Amino acid sequence: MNALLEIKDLKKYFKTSRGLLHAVDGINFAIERGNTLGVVGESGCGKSTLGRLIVHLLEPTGGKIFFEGRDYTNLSHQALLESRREMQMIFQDPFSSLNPRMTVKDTILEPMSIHGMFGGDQSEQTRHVGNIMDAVGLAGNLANSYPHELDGGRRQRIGIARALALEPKFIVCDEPVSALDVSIQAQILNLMQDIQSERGLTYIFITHDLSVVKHISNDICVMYLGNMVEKCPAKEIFKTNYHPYTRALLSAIPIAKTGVKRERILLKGEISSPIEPKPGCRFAPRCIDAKRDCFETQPDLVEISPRHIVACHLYSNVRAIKK
Amino acid sequence: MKKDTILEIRNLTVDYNSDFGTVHALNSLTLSMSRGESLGFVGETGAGKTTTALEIMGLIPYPAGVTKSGEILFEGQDLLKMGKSKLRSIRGEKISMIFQDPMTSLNPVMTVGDQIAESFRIHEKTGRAEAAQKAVRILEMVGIPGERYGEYPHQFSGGMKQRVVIAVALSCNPTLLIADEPTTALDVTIQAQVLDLISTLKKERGTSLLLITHDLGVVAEACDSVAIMYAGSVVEYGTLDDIYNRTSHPYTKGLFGSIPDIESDVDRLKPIPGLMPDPRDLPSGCAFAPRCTLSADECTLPGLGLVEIETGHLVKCRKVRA
Repeated sequence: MNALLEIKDLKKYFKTSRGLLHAVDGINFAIERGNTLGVVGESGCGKSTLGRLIVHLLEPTGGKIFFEGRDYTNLSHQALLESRREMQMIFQDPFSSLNPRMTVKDTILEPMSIHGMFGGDQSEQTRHVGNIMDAVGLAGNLANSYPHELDGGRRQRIGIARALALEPKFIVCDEPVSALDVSIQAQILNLMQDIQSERGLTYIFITHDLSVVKHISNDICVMYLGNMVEKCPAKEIFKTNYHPYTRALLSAIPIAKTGVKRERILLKGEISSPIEPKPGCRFAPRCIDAKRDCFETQPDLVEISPRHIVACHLYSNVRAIKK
Repeated sequence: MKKDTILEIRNLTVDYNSDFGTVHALNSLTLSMSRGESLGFVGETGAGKTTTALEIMGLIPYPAGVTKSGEILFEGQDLLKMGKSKLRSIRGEKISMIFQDPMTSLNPVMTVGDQIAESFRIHEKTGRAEAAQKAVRILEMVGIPGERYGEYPHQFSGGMKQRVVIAVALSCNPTLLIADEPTTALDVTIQAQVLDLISTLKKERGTSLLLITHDLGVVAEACDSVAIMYAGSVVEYGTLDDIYNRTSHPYTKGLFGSIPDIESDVDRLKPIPGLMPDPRDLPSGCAFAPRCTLSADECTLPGLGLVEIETGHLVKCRKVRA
């Protein structure tokens, strides 16, 4: 398999005064070069922690990260610095993720000068800044503007330009359009698709918005309380879905059409605490189909159809996939 | 005026004075709502949605906000001409509001029960014990066990806090409920619970609802009619069916083109080009013209108003005719 990135049993626990918080609890997946994996879930499901683990903004508690076949889990300081040329991140909030005292040009230039791109040739670097600003649709006359002078959409374009400055192969996008208005959101989504096809980039696209993730991804991974509950090709998720949580999530999305008759699955209660979780399926307390088994053992991932895997006891008669 | 109109806004113009110039927040906004109706009030950041809500509530920040002209008729009385104490008796009792952020709209040092009981004590002059009883009842109505009366907001999750805010807003059985992005800060599964709650309570009590949101999906689920806002005025107004199935204004069309559709496979979205105009320097004529694919010379002429293109379906565009 031509996987660019592969993670195996990745875990991150945080110490809290009430015990260990299982933010990410044993996630496995692989992303092929040039593809987009969408990670979707509600607040507290561990999706942002997962993104941060992959780009080494956090150190994993357990598990492995492989990038282009090499083990990227424990990197020395030097190797970590070099890894930044390969992997970048686009952050959610274009208001707080930019340095307010740096101009657009400086923001995009900084990673290049840190990494000594173009042999440290400054005029070459400056020319590259111009090219990138062009690529993300920022007018050249904004080069000397500061973030506070610009609106949210333009600021997010700076965030994207900064991530592209080192010409990475892989970008983790953590809710890149959630803070934007719909008409601007559509502009940024189109831009991200264009850049991806021009540069052959691979994305992990983290969001709570299922319609956005379905639009931009090849595969979708649904997370609930640190676990992956279902993963399938994006085009399949609306028609064929198995996990009760995925179904509830899909049925809860308001659709901008009239006369849509859908069976609404209203979940009882709220997400339970990720601190020292009880054994069994994490979703069981809210699940309408929960059986006794669900409160006792954690379900394994089973492959129901090619590339469509689900972790739920309802499908335990399906052959379990090898770990 | 329609027979059972509960709220009518006529030519409302509101400015905010700032150090950087005058912001034209509302420009001749005209809107009406009938009793028992749910009106979706849709627009993007800066369209003037929240300013409209604050105007109705008499809560425009002073001295920055200036009401230049217009009237807001609630049950036939102009709220803008009303004295402060009269307005105070209407606010909270007849018109109440659910604010966007449940995290900041509750008092952190007062128990949730007392915050609900407070409105009974103020508006209905109820005694302490009776107000507490009523508050417990209303807490249970929004799905919170009565035992939690004595807890503080920080002990509640986001969805539960929004239920408390709804309980406060509904405590005096208002005739008009203004909900400003009531579910924007919530997760989708919790949003579904809250929307369900609002529509059940609305049906039981016959409350009119002004639902402010940027989410066309939420409107489709919860409203009967829709007003689309752009740069401080309504650009299209009609029933849910008019707006969703006979979309007429280019801006409304652009909004629909910008949302990814979960049910079908579209490879590329059709966003609206450009950005919202600077509210300090609005284009003359149609404010949407600079971003509009249909714009022509006539679009920059002043004097553009809402035109009824079919019964009850109003559009503010020179290029759209009946």
